[in-house]
Amino acid sequence: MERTWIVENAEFIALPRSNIEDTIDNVFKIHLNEEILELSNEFCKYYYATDIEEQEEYFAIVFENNFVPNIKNIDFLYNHPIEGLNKIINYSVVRLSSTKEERLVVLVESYNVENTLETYLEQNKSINATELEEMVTSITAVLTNLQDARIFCCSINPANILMQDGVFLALREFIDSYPDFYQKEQYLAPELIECHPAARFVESTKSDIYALGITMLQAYTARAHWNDHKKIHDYNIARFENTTYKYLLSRIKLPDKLRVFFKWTTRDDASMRWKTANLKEWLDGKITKITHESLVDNKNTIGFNDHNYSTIKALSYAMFEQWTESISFIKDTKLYKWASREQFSNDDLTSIQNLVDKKSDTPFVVTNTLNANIKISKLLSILDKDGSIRQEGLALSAASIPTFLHYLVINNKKELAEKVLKVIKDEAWVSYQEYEDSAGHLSRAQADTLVTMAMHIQSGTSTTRGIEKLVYSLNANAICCSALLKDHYVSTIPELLMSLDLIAEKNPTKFNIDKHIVAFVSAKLDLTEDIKSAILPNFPKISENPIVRTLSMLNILQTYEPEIEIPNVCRIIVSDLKELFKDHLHNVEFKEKILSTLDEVAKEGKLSEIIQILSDQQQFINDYNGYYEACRQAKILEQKIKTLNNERKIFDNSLLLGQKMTVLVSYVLCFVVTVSVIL
Amino acid sequence: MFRSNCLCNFIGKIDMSQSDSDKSFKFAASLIKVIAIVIALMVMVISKYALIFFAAAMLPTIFAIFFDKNEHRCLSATICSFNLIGVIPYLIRMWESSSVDYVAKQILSNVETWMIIYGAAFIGQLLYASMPLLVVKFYAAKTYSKVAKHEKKHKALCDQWGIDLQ
Repeated sequence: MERTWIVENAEFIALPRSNIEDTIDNVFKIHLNEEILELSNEFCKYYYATDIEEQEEYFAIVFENNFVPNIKNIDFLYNHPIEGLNKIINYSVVRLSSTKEERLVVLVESYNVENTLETYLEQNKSINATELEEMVTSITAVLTNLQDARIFCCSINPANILMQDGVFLALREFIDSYPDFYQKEQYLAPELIECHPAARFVESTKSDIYALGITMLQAYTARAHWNDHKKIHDYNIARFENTTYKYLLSRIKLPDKLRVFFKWTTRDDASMRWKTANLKEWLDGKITKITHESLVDNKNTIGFNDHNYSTIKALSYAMFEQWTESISFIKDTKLYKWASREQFSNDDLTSIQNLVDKKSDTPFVVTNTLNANIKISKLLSILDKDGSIRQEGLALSAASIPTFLHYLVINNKKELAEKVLKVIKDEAWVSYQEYEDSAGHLSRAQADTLVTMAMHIQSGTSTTRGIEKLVYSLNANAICCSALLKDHYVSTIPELLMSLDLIAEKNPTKFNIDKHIVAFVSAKLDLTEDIKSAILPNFPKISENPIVRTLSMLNILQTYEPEIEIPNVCRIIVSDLKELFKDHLHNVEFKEKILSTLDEVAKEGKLSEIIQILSDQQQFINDYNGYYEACRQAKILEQKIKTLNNERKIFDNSLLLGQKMTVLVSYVLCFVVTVSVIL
Repeated sequence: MFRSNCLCNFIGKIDMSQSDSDKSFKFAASLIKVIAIVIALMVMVISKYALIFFAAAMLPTIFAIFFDKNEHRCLSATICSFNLIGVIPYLIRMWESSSVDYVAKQILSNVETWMIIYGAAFIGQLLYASMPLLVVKFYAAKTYSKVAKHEKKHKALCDQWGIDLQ
């Protein structure tokens, strides 16, 4: 079942397919009439499923085709179940009987959706220190195992912690959405707070540890501290202004051991926050003492937009939220003065000074705004080194770029997609390169891959160099989102060919190669240039026709997968080509010859032979030239006929000629008579 | 630009050659009448009877000149020629005789003379009326055959190359 392809640098895992509708691996039946609405979301639907033989109950996660689940993670978790994480039983591409669509379905252990830590806390219960330690032990083990497999962002929050009889059972599966997409803001680590929900993936357990700390604090105190604020935004401002751990720990009394845990798991700066190794040490009793740190500091405040801010995170959060106001703020030297009192290195201070220096601005208003936007992004990356990549109206983690770009393109958010493309081209992650725990960090290898793949991308031009191609290149497991393939799960070239042939057979009128298919093929085959016309490149009317472009593209595919036969596609192509040639070829004899040859070739089902027939361009040139010469001749003849058919003119001319001839004859006779009389 | 200039020059030359040809023909058509006037002047010097004869004999020409509306004066030229064909043998006879007046009187009084002279003029008139029409018929027949030939060629061309016949 396991088959791995390497497509460029992205790892591709071929998916198993089920032959029977609504059934995974011929064993597990999905009950499409029994949806679990509490768990379904915009990326997948949950249904009950049962083992056909033993009637054991499971949950089937049926993914939407416009979502890119992390197949690598699913495959790993299927092959290597982790104790304390809800188990993946099986996964497969299944055709659903209700819509006849092929979908990826992941089967997981069933659980009681009402038995979570959230519902437990809603019953005004709390957990004691021992229960907390047990829960942290289990979750730390899960996080450690996930970290070893480079799996991160498991959306830890009370709703995702499954309980049984008041004891931790397991973490819910977190594969059902983009990483942390549905994570509530209070559990989001500060480095991810500004990020777009679909762009919160970081390759670090630090954000999970923050979420764990907040969840455990809520469970231990049986109190949601953010509910003290009207809006979650106010809580964010409060926690960043005071730093989370100071803000929360100043409100409650805790045993020293727990205080140590909460202090180091809820640190705002990711670099200072604990790792899983620290958690283990704490659980083993190696870290017990708390360094006494005043929870009330002497504050170094700075005013921005009628508010005072005393921490870097609070200021950067406010600057991102109030971007327009930040444009005038960065021109104020007080920012530099404030920064010089904070713990910044000399290099950072010099950079800040350069950015807030008024003289560097150009006098042009438009350039000024553009420069200001660049400056704010740069400034935020210096001030908040753990933070995300921030642009005007957009924040994202660097590691989430591939899936985020897919999300934006599929949801037709072109403006944001263009911004992400700019982030890639500007290599905006460079500013975060030295800070591994920051949301803006990207490993050198990943960065190189991104830049290489984006190198040929020119938005708004050809499909093979468009943003869609980049999306498919970056997401090896993304399925082709063409409207034509709506009912098909196509993630490889062979699957594409087979699906196209099936569509050509069942629904030939709808057969059409759209930009998604071209982009998908370009990405899979790593085509950097536009697909050239396989036939008659010197005839734009023919070579630029969609059917010829389709032929050219499918021919490339068949070259890569010669063993896959596509007779129905061939038949449609030939039929369309015949229509095309009926319109564009002129010489009747030549046209008939070409059409009859195409008919013969269509039976064999090989595109290369169609191309072979049409490869001799000279005969088409002759036809083209011959036609225009024939048109010219015909026009001349028409003109001649028109002139000759002018009866009045003919009569006048011939009458005049007759009169002239009469005069001539009379003169000749006169001369002859005169001469003969004289002689 | 150069080509259109050339075309204009060419069309101009055609027009000029056509007007030249017209002028030449008009001159040719009037030549016979000039000859007739010259003959009249010569006859006037020789004998008054001969002049009377010539004037009377040339009456068809005089009428034709008055009634000829043709641009090239073809009618009067044709009738004048035939008129002279009828007159010249008698003028020669007068010229060769010893007494011009006497022969002129004889010719004037002979009815046969007038029948021959006016008959010749009448033949000229008939020729003028019939010969151009014959030429018209012949020319039209030739044109129709040419049109049919062109149409056949045009149809074959259109059939071979799929040109839409509008």
